[in-house]
Amino acid sequence: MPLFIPRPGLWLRNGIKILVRLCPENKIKPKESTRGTHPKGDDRRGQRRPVEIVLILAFSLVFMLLSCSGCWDKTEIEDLAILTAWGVDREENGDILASAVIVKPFAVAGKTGEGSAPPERPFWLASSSGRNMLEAMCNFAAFSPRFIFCAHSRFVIFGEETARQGVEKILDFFERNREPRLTANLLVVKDMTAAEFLKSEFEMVPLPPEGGLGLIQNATRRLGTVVNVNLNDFLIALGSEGIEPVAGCFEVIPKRPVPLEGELERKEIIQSPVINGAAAFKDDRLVGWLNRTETRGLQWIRGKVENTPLLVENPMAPPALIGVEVIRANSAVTPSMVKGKPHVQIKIELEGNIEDAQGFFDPKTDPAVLKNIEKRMAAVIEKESEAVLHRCQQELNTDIFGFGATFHRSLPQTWDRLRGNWDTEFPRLEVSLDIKTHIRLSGLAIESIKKIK
Amino acid sequence: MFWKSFLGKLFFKRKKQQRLPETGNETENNILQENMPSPDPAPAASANLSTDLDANVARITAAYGESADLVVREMETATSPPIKIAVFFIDGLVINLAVTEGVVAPLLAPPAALSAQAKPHPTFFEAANKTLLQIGEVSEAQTFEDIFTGLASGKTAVLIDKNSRALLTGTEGWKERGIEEPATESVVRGPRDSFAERLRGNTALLRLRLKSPRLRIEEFQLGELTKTTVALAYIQGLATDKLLQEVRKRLKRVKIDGILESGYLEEFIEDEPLSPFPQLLRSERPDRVAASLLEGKVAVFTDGTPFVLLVPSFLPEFLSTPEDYYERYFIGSFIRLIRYVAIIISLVLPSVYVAIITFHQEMLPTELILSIASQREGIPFPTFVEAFLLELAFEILREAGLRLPRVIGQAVSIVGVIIIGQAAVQAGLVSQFMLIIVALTAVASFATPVFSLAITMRLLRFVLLILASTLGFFGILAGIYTIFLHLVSLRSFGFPYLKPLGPVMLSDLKDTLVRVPFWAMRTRPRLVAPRDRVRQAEGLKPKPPQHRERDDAKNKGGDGA
Repeated sequence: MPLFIPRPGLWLRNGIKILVRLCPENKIKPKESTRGTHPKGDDRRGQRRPVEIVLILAFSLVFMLLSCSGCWDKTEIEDLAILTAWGVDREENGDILASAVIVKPFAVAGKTGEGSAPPERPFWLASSSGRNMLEAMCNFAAFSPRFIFCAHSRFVIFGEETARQGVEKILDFFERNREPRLTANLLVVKDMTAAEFLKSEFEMVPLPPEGGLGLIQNATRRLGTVVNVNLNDFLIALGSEGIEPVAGCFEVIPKRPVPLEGELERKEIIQSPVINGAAAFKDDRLVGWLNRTETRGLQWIRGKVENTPLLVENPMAPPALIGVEVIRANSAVTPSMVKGKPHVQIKIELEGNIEDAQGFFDPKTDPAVLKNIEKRMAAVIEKESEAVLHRCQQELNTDIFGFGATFHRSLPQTWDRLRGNWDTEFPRLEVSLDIKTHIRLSGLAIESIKKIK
Repeated sequence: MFWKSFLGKLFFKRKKQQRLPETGNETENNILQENMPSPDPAPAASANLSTDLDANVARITAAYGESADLVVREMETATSPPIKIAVFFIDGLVINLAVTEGVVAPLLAPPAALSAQAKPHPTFFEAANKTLLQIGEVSEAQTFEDIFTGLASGKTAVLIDKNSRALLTGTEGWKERGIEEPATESVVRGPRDSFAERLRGNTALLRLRLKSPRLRIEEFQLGELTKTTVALAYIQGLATDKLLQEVRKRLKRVKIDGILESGYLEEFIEDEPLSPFPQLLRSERPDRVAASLLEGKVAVFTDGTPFVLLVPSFLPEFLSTPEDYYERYFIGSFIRLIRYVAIIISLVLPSVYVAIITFHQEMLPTELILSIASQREGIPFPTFVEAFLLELAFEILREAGLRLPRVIGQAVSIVGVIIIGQAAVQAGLVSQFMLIIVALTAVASFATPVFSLAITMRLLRFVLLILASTLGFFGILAGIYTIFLHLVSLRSFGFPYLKPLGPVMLSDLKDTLVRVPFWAMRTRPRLVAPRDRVRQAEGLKPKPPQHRERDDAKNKGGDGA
């Protein structure tokens, strides 16, 4: 209970009053009767020397500032509980159960190893419930000795059940509140609650959120069968018409307790997450999971593949395989009306390098073989794209590709007609694929080791 | 009106600073005689000499109160009738040989021709002046004041009976420090000489660099008791009359008992006495002073100190060194940019750190904030106190190392840096990050070439630290805005202090943030030297030889063969 309540406004008013009195122009003439004769002579009466004024001014300013200290937003860093991931579930009664991964800075690698005390888990998993996110977060204060600080949260993770019930009411907090960042990744956990999922640990990385982040980045850059969606992307898709949101998908592969040897004292990792596929939403509700093939199909259509391996049959030695690493992929979606029906043309263009060739392979003997491989690549991509189109159009009926939005952008008048019944129009939407593939390099070798067919 | 005066107070702007009455038309050499009662117990110093030699001798010895170093030699010439002569000098300030052979000997034994027609005394005075004294510099003195000043500057005074004038002969000579390497402005490439204490030697160093007779040196005597000689040096035609008059006017205002260093003068003649910023650049390098004069500035030499004031001075110049001009311009520019970075670091780094740690924790990458947080675990002080204590400790260490003999000074820094720093971290008093921040700030502040600006930044750093700890970035910004408002309002002898950044002068930017090559610096700075701006011929950029010339040469060679 502070005895001294800072009142900057009052001080400012008083300070200005003092200043007014100090200024020579506003000097109040001293009364002869009260003051008497000034020891230093009459000419100095009622005047202050400029140095005096400046000193008083400086001291009063510094005093005002110093006495302000401690109020407003000041928080020492060691009083913060740095939260790095949110897990959100709904309880049976509809309340929100917010779980948080809170880092223990003193246990983070770098300070461990001193003495013989076994290193503890570098994070603290805590849950708190409330009728909305704000209340749940504030309820942490009841048992957390440090102030929850979520500006460094890297993840917002929903349990499957919660996602199926709808996430809009939860997400407003993340959009409105000052602290959480919109760059946090949004993921849904398959067959699990978020609170349960947050218990999982990663190999090689002590902090689960860092591990998760590494997983997403790695999978996006090297594998291409996942979606990398952050809160901002999700909220934009949720708030726009003609497009439905997707989110990343975490799955947990239960591990048998395996004794691990090495310097880490953690004896076992009980559950370890894998990242797999994507979660398709309709409006704010989860409607279905996309498997890895379908997810890559989605990424082809959205033009978001960064780097992915593509396997095709070696035309010179079937059924051996040729591995092409896609290094660049773009797509363009053009909506049009064909015979009064909405139609979408998707152009996908990609480049790849041959990184792995099995069996006999020597493009020098037959240059046409490269064209053949390119054709086979296009076939794979077409198959994957059609799989996801079929899944979304026929089974889930959710426009996660944003075809509606392209109509909205390119053909606004048409969209005015389509908008009302897009749910019925979307499954009937005709989609044509135009896939161009190019092979640029063949790695460090040209022909394969096996020289003769 | 109130706000005007409030802002006026805040930025220390005061129009009417002069409390002493403005002195009128004095002659330049004795400005002190008016308006100030002489504190000498002896007869008024400004009194003229009398024709009675004994009375004069008595007054001079009385004035010095029989000081041990005053030498009085009373003698008579070997002529008939003998002429009474008194010779005065101050032991230690004169070359004894010069006094003996150049003054005493010729006076005692004048040539026979002269002694034969030994005429009345006024003629002997003229003869002594014109023919007898074998000293290069001889001047006449009319008043006791002149004699006192002359004696104190190593001259020998010759008083001849029946004359109300005295002769001052230039017999100066004393032990003085030689020309050494500059202690505060050392360079890797460039001249190694620096000014010493004596004014004449210093002006000589300047004269050696600027051989044109347009280099003018004006002298004043300031200080009621010290009688310090202050000299203005400028180049006729480059320094404007307005600036010169302003400098003269401000110097003449100074009425003080003593001036022992140019710092005394600086505080009397600067524009904003309450500003923390140094408004006059000081240098102990003759090359730097010469370069400034070439830009139309005025140098103020003070006897007794190697530090010369350059007026006017601008903030960007405080971040330049002579070496910028001696090294290749790429290097010069790069190093200069680094200095700008360093001075910004030395001003704001601790406050930015404190602000981020206590207010804006979301601004750091997660890994970094975790690392800092893990180091802050168990530190008993708030970040601000930690920063303040360490900064204070650093200032104490620096001060301790500065005043000690060099050998012990190193020991202090080792104790301070290694032992205290390491122990404080291990004892959990301060965090390693804070130590890094403070050390980085310290190193950055050493990268500021002019010490007076570096200590200003140190002072302001503490102010910003307090602001940062109370208001976060908002406080830092408020502080920096205030500093900038103050800076743009500053003037150095009437010229904007931030020139050419303050009022942007594109042509002067060539030598501010970067230093362009010399062949691209055709003009002098605009405000300071407005009359004679062009300083070099056009098209001096070196070019490779033309192809035709090469062909010609080849042809010639062919002919020759």
